[in-house]
Parts: sequence; C-alpha cells; structure tokens
Amino acid sequence: MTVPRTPTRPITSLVCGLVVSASCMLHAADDRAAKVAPLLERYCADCHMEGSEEGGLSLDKVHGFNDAKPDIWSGLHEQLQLGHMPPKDSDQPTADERALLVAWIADSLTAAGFHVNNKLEWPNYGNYVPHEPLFRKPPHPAPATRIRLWRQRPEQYAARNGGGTQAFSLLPGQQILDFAAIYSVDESAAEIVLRNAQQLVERWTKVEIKDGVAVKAPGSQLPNGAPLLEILQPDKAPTPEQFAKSINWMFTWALSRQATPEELAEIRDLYDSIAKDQGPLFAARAALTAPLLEPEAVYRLELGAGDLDEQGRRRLSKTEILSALRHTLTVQAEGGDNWPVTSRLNATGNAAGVTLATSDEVATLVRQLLDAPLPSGKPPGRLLAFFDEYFDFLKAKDVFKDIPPATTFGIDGAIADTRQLIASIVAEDKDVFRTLLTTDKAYAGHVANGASPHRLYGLPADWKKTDAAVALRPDEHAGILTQPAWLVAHSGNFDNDPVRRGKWVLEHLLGGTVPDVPVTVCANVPPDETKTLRQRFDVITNDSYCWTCHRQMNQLGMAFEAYDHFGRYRLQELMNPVDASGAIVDSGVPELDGPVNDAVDMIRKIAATERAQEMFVRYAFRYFLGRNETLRDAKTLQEANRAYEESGGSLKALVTSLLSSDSFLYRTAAP
Amino acid sequence: MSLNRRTLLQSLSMGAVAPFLAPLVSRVEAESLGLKPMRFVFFIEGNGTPPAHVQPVGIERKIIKNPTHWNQITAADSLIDMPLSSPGVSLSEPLQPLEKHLKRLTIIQGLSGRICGGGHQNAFGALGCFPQQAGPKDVTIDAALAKTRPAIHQHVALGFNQTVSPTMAPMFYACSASGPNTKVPHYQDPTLAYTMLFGKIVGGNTQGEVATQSKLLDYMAKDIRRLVKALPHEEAQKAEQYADAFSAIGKRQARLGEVDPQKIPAKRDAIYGSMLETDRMQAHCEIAATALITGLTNTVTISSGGASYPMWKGLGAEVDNHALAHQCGNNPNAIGDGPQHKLRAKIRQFNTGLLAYLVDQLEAIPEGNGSMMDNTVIVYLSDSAEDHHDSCYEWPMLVLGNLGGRLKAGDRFLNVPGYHSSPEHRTVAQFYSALMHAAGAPVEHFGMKDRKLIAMGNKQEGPWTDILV
Repeated sequence: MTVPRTPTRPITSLVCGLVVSASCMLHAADDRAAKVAPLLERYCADCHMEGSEEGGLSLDKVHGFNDAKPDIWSGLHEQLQLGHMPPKDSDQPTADERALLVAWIADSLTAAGFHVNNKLEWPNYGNYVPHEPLFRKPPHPAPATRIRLWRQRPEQYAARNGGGTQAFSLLPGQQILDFAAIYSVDESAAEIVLRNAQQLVERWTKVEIKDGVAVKAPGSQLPNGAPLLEILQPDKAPTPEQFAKSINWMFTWALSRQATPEELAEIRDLYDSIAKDQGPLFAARAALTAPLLEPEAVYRLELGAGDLDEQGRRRLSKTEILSALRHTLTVQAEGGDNWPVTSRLNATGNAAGVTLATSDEVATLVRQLLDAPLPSGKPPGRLLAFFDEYFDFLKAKDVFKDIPPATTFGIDGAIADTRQLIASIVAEDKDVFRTLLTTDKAYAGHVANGASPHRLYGLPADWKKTDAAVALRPDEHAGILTQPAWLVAHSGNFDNDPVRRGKWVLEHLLGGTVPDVPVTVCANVPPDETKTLRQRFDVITNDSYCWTCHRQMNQLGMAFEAYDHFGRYRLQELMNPVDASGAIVDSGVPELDGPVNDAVDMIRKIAATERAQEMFVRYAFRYFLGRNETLRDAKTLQEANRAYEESGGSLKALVTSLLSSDSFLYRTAAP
Repeated sequence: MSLNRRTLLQSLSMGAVAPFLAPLVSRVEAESLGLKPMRFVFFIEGNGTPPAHVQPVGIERKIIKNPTHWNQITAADSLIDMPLSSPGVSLSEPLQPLEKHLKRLTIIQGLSGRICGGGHQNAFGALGCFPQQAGPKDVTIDAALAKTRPAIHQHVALGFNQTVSPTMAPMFYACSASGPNTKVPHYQDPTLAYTMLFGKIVGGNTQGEVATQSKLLDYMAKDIRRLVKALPHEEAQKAEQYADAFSAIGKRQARLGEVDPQKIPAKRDAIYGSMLETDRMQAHCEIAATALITGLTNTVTISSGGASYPMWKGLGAEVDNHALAHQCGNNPNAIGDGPQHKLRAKIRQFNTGLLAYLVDQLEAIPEGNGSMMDNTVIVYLSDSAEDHHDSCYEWPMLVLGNLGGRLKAGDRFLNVPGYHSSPEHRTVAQFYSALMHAAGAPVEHFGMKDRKLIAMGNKQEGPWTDILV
C-alpha cells in the first residue's frame, strides 16, 4: 500500500515479515527477468535469504516480478537507483547491471499499474548522478532533453492570465524550485485557469447593438485593434476569414502563434454547435476562450519540430527556441526590465535571414540577450534569481529569532545586502563563482542603524552607514557563506545549525549526497545552557547510527561556529574561546580531505578546487534546464565548464554555453 | 466510467484506497446503492495539541519520563474509559466551547503515530500514517473516506498557511492526498473558495451558460487528449490529468442545478477579505458548513495554520506559534499561568469554538429522524501531534459525532495504554482503520505500522476496536 523509504538500512527495516520467494509470478513476456534473477541472487541474497533474511526480506528465490508486493519492489527500486544498496562494504553490481535492475523493476511496476518514483528526476537528488563520468569521461556525442511538459512558472502564467487569480505556486524546500518533473496542472488549478480565461473573454466581449451592429459596450476592455467584433455580430455568422482573424488574434495573444488549420476547423465546429443551440454570443465566447486553455497556455511545450536525427533526437524549431529563451531569460519584473530582451527576441523572430539552425547562431543571440542593457541597470533578473535559489538565503526571513526581535534584527536588510553583493559580482562577471565564495567585500547599507549593522558585519563601532561596498577582515569573512543572511537562513531559531550549513556545503560545493532522514530519527538537540552547541551535538549525532550520515555534514558545519546564529563573527562562546574547527571528510577530492581551522579556511580551500566549480556548473544546468543532469548531458557540462574557464569565470559565458547546448536545443522520446 | 453496485461494493470491501472510484460518482448514485449518508470533517490545527490542553479536569493523567526520548509522555497502565459527564469531571479551559456538545464529544489520549517521524509537523503523515518526508506516499484518511461517499465535490479542503500569502498562492498543499504524490489543494483565500464552490450556483447559471460550458469543456478534454499520444509516459500522464480536469469540471458543473441556492448564505466580505487569521478561519468554517449542508460534498478538511507557524493576531498574539510554544517552555504537560500559556489556551479555545460552530450548523439541518450532525464525524488533531516539538509518542484527538451510531463515541474519555506500558497500546493508524470500518470500507491496516512496536510485541493488527460499536 505504501512506498517505503529509508536510506541506510533500507528494505530490511521496512518490509519486515514479507517473504517474496514463495509466490512469485514470472513475467514471461520480459526476457530481462531471466537476467535479473541471478543478479538478485548474487548481490542481495547473501543477506536477504530465507533463514537469514535481514529485516525479514528474502530475495534468494525471487524468479520474477511479484505484483502482490509493490512495497518491496518500490523499495528495491529506490535503494538500487540511489546506490544505497548493496551496502558499501559489499560486492557491487556494475553500472550496467544496476541500470538493468532499476529499469526492469520500474517497468514491471508501471506495467502492473503502480506509480514509480523516479527520484533521480527530483530537485534534491541530482547529486546521485556520479560526478566523475560527467566531467572526466568521453561524453555521449548527442545530449538531449526528454520531451516534457514543463508547467509555466507562476510569474509566467500571471503575465498571460489577464489579471486573474494565480493558479500555480512553487513548492518550497527544493534546491532548485522550478523543475519540470514535479509540477502538473491538477483539477483545482485547471478550474482557476478556466475561470480566469472566461472572465477575460467576458470583459473583452461586452458588446451593445447599435443599428443592428455589435459595437464595444461601455466597460468593455477589448484591447485596441483586437479584431474580435467580427465574430460578435448578431444574426450573422462570421465568414471563415473573419473567424480565422479573430481566433488567430487570440492564439497570438495567448500562445504567441497562429492556430493551425486543423485547430481552426475544430474551433469552428465548436462555434457552430453552440451557435445553433445557444446563440452566437455564447458561441463566440467559447471559441475565444479555447486558445486560453490550450496545453501551451499552462505548459511549456517543446516537442522538437525538427527532423529526427540519427541519434533519435529532434531539434527545436526557430519558434520553439525563441519561446524557450523567452521562458528561460525573462521574469515578470517591474520597470519593464524585460523589454530589451523581449524586443530582441521579437526582432529575431521577424528576421527572415536568422534561422537559429546552428548552436553558434543561438549562442550569438543568447549573448546579445544577456548583454542587452536593462532599464534597472542590474544584471538580468533570471541570473540573479539563480543565486537566490543556489545559496538559498531568502528563507532567512522564515527563521524566527527571539532576541533581538526580528524587526530590529533587520533580516530583510541583511538579505538586501547579500543580494546587492551578488548583483555586483555578477555585473563584474569575472571569476564569479570563486569571488562569491571568497570575497572580503560586503554591502551593509540596508540594515537599519537600530539593528547595529557594524556588529553584524564586524565593522568598527564608529562605522558610518554607506551604500558603497565595505571591506571586511579576510580572516573573519569569506563571501556569501559568511554573510548574515546565509548564516541565519541556515540556522535554527535559537542556535546555529551545523547540520543545515554542512549539508549545504556538502551538496552544493562537494557534490555529496545526504539520504532522507530515517523515520527512526527524532531530530532534537537537547537544550542545555551550560554546554556549547558542539557539546550538545556530540551527545546525539555521534551515536554510530547517526554518525553514518552526519559524519560529513557535522564536521563541515561546525567550522561555522565562528559565527553566532545571527551571523555575527565571534571569538568566544560561553566565556571560552570558540572552537570553530572542522574537517572535510571523504569529499571525493583526496587532497581536500583533512582538518580545517574554521569556515574561512574551509571555504578558501574548497573554492580553489575543480570539483566545487564543476558542481556550480551542475547547479546552473539544473536551474536553466529545469531538470537534473544525466550522464548523457556530460558533453554539455564539459563544454559549459570550459566556456566558463576560458572566459575567466564569466557567468554569461557559462549560461550562453548551456542555452546553446544540445541539451537545451534537442528533444528525444527516451532519455 | 461506469460503476455498478457490485463493483462499488467490491471496491469498498477491498479497502477503497486504490484510485478506483471515478472522482465524481454522484451522491444520488451512492444513495441508490444503499450507502448511508455520512460526512467526514477533519480539522487540523498547527503546532501541536498538548495533552494537558484536552485532559478533562478531574481525571488523573499518568505522566512518565519517556524511556526512549527526552520528553515526558502520558502513560496509562491500562485503558481508561469513562463518561465525560462523570461526577467531578469537567472540560479543560481550552475545550470550554464544546461543553454544550458534551454528548457528542469524545476525547482521546495516548494514541501514537511514531511512523510519521515528528519534529515540527508531520505534513501528509499526520493523516496518512507514513513518514513525513518527501511528500505523500499514499492516500490520507480524509481522502480515503471521501472516496466512500462520493459527491459533486469529492473532497473540499480549506484553511490557511502562514508561510504562503493568500494572494501569491491561492492554494497550498499541507496534509491531504488522494494517492501517492497526489496532493489535495487547500483553498487559502475564502473569497476564492466561495466563488469556486458556490459562485456558479448563486450567480444564476443560465441554461445557455451550462450548455456552452459543457461543450467547451468537452472540446478542451478532447483537444488535450490528442497531445497525449505525442508524449512519453510520464508526460502523457500530465496531459491526461489536464484533460481529465476539464472532464471532471464539466461533469461537476452540469450537476450544480441539484444544489439549492437558497441554502447558500451570502458572502460576508468583511471577514472573507480580512487578513486576520481569526476572520479567515471563521469564513472557511462557514464555507465548510455550507458545502456539507448543500450536499456539494461529504468530506471537508480544514487546516488551521497547519504546516506553518501562524501568528494569531486577532487573538492578541505578537509572536508566531513557534515562538509562543518556546515561550511556554516546550512543555506539553503544563497549562501554566503565564500570559503566554493563557494565549496558547485561548488560541485552542478559538479553534474548538469553530468546532462547536460546525456542530451547531449541522445540528440545525434535519436528516432522517435527527439532524445532519447525527451522520457526521468531526476529527480534530494537530499535524504536529502532542506539541510544537512533537515526538508522536502520543497524539491527542477530539472526536465529535458518532457517524450514525457506527462509532462508540460521545460523552466519552478514552486514554489508551502508554506506548511503552502495554501491548494494548493503540496507534493513530489503528484509529483511522476503525474510521474506515465505520464507513463501511474496512482495511486491514491504514498506513504503515510502527516497527518498534512490533519489536515490543505489539503487532497493531486490525482497527482500534474500543471506538467501534
């Protein structure tokens, strides 16, 4: 009935008492089944066999898929896919063997009507794709994105819903928020979309009859020049030309394209059917509403209109590319900030000579879009928004601080300071990633004086407020991770949170993975005012059961003990010198492993590595492509990394490379 | 999909947890199948229900240091089962609004739900009895019960969530799911909820509009389904869902004529548009009552700040519930005298007042020989179990009504034996199994079992029978 999951002690602890062996059903049609049984026997049966079944699970006599026990198969699928099983100290299947097992279980479950979670497509699981093959193996020659429906971002929908109610929202808690795999349009959202569309059409089609002719009624909000009156005339069916003109205008408004002849014919049938029974006004309104409800009105639809190539891919057409770039690079911003980008896209659309048939052509266009000066003078909003998600510091607002109260603490100001710092580094566009991590520059102008900005940033007591950048002590601060906004966002209400901080570093900089919190864990640090957080932590997470997962996170996170939970640098804790020592453990970069003095020491060491930069490229890929990278994307990642490297660390070069890559431009039916 | 009596009953007896029933089988159909009318209301309050808040005055509660956790827990040695109207027993202050409904009220102490994990809240686990992480793993109890009593709207969910603004996110997903990964949206803005649920009924839906709408929706469903063929499996599901949505809306709207517009009170803009949590919750409860009374739905889930830390400004709060619980010392076992304790009790009292309001409304509508309330059960709990920092070793609950006599409930106090005290200890999952039994859709076990209890010799087999007739 349920889909079980735990990380370190997987199936065993979950499917207690279930023994598969007796009642297996062989899926005769699937010849892979014959290959699977020996693999289960070889890699699983040592522990999970009848008589000595770990956790009550026996896999030694499984001959095929058993649809009576979906729990077991779901659990197996996840444990194998995420590499949690077999345990690290056991004989491991080859990558191909693992892939065979995973695919076979997924297909069997799907065929039997069960839902299969493919966590590798979920936002927080991208790091389960192994790092080395992505950057250090000869890549697959033809990356592509699987054909997908990508629900519009709320802001994109808002731009076209005619001022109606917002129907969509983004799920908090994801490392990258807008992922194609996790959003769909359910019944409630569809109902709001429908209502918005009908209200819009109603507002636009208010007519009154003068001398037998329908004209705009007072209060009609029909946009100037919209040719809709043609199909609103009483007692007179519109000619095919009039009909096409009105409907095409709506298509263009809603979907930036004309209706196909088939669509026109079908909407005409709808119109005729309603006109016959309910009258022409009802018919016209329904026909004008239809384009606003098309799948494209709620989903990005990039099917690939090009020819099938030898690799089973289709390239996006020029129109599709322009639409994809519009989605990717524009935000609904104040002050017409999108205008130069939109006008450039429109001009490209109308330029007959521009075909966008080569990557170079697309790259040139992307570069122009990124370079187009915006009215606000800031870097493009979508580039800055990437760092909101990547550093995940906006959630500082949600971390409640007792003393001093949040209002005087001024977290909004601290967030604005960090954003300003990011914007200045992005505008500079040089060695962007490492500068973000290591700069001793800061802005302190947004925190109210009452909240003592000088204390927050470790500035002299006589510091006078300024909008200009200030230099912090490089032995106390290094970049965004030592900014109050980030430190507060990754803290608890009353304490630092080394787990959250360590987890961020582990995942974002080192490419590590952290399993889901097991059911058996109750994550509470006992309150005790006589002990430091480090001492209180040691009591619980040093337990060998916890330590398996916490070993890496805690030692990275403890290096931030040089700051308090408001993000202020400190030398003492509980009247004693603060202990900010930490360690980098099992990072996958051997020369990096070892003790660190404090966060600044740790950040500088990590920032200097190839691994950290490559992880940055991986996260950028996820943000701009709306999905996790797969091994097939290795070429895209390697090229993007090279472009970044060769340009001296230009974010624009990195984004240009990603948006002109095969991963961005090609679609395939199978991943 | 066609549905006959045989397949429906079959599905009910099999557990009715598979997404088997079409979402919109008519209430009329259900009644023609001989299903007794039943209504289910789940009221979820955020930030924990301390056992001390609901423990009746005059009944002793045994508290022990939790042997496997740092907190203190309720640990009866054996089942305590007594009438709330016993001499010397009275309701605690936070439950005062329910005094007048004592005959319908059951207070439950001691059920555990360790499978959910605890921490700050249990998300979909609170109603689903599965680990809270990574979204709903299966159907939750409210949605499972909804499937047993189909209606025009199978399941209406409402409420507020402090972490998302009503204008930015008109809907939020907090605690209910109709299946794995299928979250049920809660309307957050009462005005929107009113409009979406009743707008077409009170607005006068002319025949022309109904027919037009139906043709448009048919067209859209057909149009979208053409796309399905061009898509790989996962994406085809998304397109199908969009097409299905229009089919379902079409079917639902075609039946709105069955609803009596006279039964729908006018929208009170003063509270519907208010940003005060108290006003919005009052509005949501009005909508919930109306939806049940009109027969628009048989199942409502109301989230009162669940999955978030609301600040009850309308009750005088100046800090959010998270901070408030900390100020109360994170001790679920005391109702202290400090202003923060009083405020916490007052917040609970406001919410139990809303429960009393719902009972009043349903009692006012005759049904059979009694009232609608006779065939209703309202279950009140927190998604954060026994406290703001919950361990889920105990999960205080209130039950109002007895579901047409199918539950042994009303004027009753039940305290099951403590988690570590006896193999007779019972879990939230077993209570939910009992609700499924009462609804005529028995399941062997709802949600997942607690493996630590199994190791301790408590197999958790079957429903919690003490609550069943």
